[in-house]
Amino acid sequence: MVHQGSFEIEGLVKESLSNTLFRVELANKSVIICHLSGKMRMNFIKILPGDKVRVEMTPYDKTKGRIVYRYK
Amino acid sequence: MINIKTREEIEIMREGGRILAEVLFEVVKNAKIGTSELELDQMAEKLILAKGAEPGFKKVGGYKYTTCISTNDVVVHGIPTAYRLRENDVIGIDCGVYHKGFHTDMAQTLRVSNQKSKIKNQKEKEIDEFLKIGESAMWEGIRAAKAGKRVGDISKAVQDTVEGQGYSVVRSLVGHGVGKELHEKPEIPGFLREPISQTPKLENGMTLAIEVIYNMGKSDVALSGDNWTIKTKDHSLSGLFERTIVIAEGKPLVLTRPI
Repeated sequence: MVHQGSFEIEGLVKESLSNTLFRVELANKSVIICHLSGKMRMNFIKILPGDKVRVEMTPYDKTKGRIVYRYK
Repeated sequence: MINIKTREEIEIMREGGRILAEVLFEVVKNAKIGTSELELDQMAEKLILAKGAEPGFKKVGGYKYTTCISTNDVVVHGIPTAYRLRENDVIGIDCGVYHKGFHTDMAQTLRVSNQKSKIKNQKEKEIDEFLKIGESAMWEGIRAAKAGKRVGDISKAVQDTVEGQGYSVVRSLVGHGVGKELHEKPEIPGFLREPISQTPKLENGMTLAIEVIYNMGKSDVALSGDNWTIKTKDHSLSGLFERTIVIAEGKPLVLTRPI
């Protein structure tokens, strides 16, 4: 069966929760829970509320995402 | 983490792939004018069970059929209906087999025709050319799947073959790893989403379902009213070709083959 590919979307970090989880508001006004990607953890990139980030999501679960990039 | 399969697991998948290929080619042979999609689905299910395996798609949550039959402008996930095939319908048959704990996935698209006449009109020639390019794009993608290369090399091979001829690769649907789950990592898009160097590296023991999902017209697809079937936005014809392969001794080896 064909698999739907994951996609990237921009969002704004609203709140930081424990265990590097964040509440992120997407461009379409929906708020999702995102975790920090491993590559960003390895490189010690910090995320604070108010940061604009790029989130990777799967079409199969629209409530979760993975933060893959922090914009300057 | 991309799962690497052991030699024993690859052998099991080879058996499952053989069953699937035999079943699928039998169904393709029986896709004639007047046959209904449901009859093809029931034939596939009967053949799979007779060969001692299980229909893999029934393990997908909420899906009750053995195959996805995608006719004409349906891109993928077509639910088999009582629709009877007509001349020059383009029908994509996607099927999966679950055997001893492992999935295999395969798809083939064909033009339904009166096989006796060899003379084709313009439209039939166009459709056959469209399908030929899709299938060769799949083989080009498979050929690019060598150890040490990257997923992006497969994507580039598929995209260059399909879009080089003026057709479009569907952006939102991807090939995938296959094994204990029907859909595993990595995602193998039919086009370059990111630079090749940023895509995962291919290694021996990876089992991949390489798919070419492409349209005659534009690449945009839309979810249809039943919230499951995906159709082309501009109602153009869509093709689907897929094989499950393993990378063994550095080279790709097709698991879904009849022998």
